[in-house]
Amino acid sequence: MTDQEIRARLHKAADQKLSGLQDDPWLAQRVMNRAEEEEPVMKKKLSLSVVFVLVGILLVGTALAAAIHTDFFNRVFGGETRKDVAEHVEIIDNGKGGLESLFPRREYVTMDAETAERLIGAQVMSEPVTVQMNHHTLTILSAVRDENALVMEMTLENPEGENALVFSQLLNEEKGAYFANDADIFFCVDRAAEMMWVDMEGSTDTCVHLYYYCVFFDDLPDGEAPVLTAMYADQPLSALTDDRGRHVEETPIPAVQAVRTRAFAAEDGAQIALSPFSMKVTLTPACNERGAAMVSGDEEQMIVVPDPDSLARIEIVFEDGSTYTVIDQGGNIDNTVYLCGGLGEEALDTRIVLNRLVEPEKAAKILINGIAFICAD
Amino acid sequence: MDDVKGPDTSKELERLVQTYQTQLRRLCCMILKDAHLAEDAVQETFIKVYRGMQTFRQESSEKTWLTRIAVNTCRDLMRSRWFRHVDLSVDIADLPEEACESSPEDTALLELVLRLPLKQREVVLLYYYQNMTMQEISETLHIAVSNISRRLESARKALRRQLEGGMEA
Repeated sequence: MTDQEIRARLHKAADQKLSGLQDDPWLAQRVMNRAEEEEPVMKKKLSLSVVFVLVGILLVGTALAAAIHTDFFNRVFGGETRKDVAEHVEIIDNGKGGLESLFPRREYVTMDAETAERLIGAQVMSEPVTVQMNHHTLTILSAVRDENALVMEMTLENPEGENALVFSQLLNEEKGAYFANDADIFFCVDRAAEMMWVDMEGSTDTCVHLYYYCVFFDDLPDGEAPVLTAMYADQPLSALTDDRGRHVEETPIPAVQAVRTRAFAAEDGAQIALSPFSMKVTLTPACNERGAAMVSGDEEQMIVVPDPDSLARIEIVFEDGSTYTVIDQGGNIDNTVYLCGGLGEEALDTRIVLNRLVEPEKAAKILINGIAFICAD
Repeated sequence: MDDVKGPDTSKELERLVQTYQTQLRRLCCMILKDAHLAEDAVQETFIKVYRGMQTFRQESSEKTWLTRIAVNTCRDLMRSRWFRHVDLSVDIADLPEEACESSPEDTALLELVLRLPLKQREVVLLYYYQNMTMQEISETLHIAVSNISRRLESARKALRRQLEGGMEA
């Protein structure tokens, strides 16, 4: 079959098969209306209530704040709520008799409270923010962010029984909790991809205690509030066929101040921005292809746009000689909480939430696929 | 917002919608494999276009610019939790009823294209359906031309293997 034949047949099939898709005669008008409606959201200034919240945070006594932060650090980044996991095999239900899956080794490290406070304490938001969705109450207890990532501790409560999320210990290790198909609520951080880790011991039938780790599609500059979008309806959201009956609320998350990142660069110009809890990797084609080749000899893997699969090994080497293996695909080690590639305006970034706190100023170098990234600040 | 308002911008948006709405809707539908999400993607695409009209530097063609925004919008939708965890995708048979029947062979080809991995599917749709050149696809997807060739070749092989092998999949 020649190119011309493929083109002609695909056109014919697609044009016929998709001819039932109706053009919207009011699309231009709808677009102009929506663009005008949404503009204030895009440039949302902090509301007076949020300003009061921020002032409240400043007024909280330092000692009390530090105590709250310590708990937050331990639960979100440390080993308090999770234990090291050895490499293990699980049978995943795929509806066809089960699929054997090898889970990676994970190691959690708790940082001392004083160092953690010095690194990110000033940027932690710990004045609760509440969002009501039907009978569900979502409360953001604490949050901290940098330009790449946002980490939150939250609870989701329903006195009638909280069943909007599907979660398990294995899901915590896999893709995280997710919304049940019959859930009547949904929430997410705008322009971000995320995973939800549920504290199994800290959750009850009516209250799910969870940690929300997300990476932004594009850098979120210091001073801007991330926005939480919540949706709810009086029936399962998945049953709705259009916007009618779906309530949407946007709530600024007052984690406005971004934790600083430290820049590292490789000789070929590839870059890393490292914060105490996240990493943004912007690879060049050479580095990326080398990683792809390390993972697989498959030519199709030799892509230019960085793909998470091409990050074969990431290691942070500290000045004292100690190391933090973030990823080692060969050794089946995964010390990330969440990783997402193809981000940024040019889709060249991979953003990672680390599973522990690190001190960026003590990192001597970062090795990705054997290529050294040296501090460029 | 003020900088993009005004009769000229509105007319320009109407022209772009008139010219590209149909093909972008079909392209988004084939990338997302979901007619409802394609609606959202097209509207979102034109909102971005409307806001970005003043910044369009005409370094690429108008079609390349719009297609790039549409593909990135689809990618954003696919990254979202909503897309990843709530399965809204539909089978090709569930797509809106077609105006006229297509041949089984052509439908089989379309089904195979929709089953390709996303990276190959994007390139195939842009090359064969949007009639874009390799250079235009490179500008749209930010991928080197050599890699587009590789993906296209892999896709061609897969399509030929499946079609000539009698659709065993």
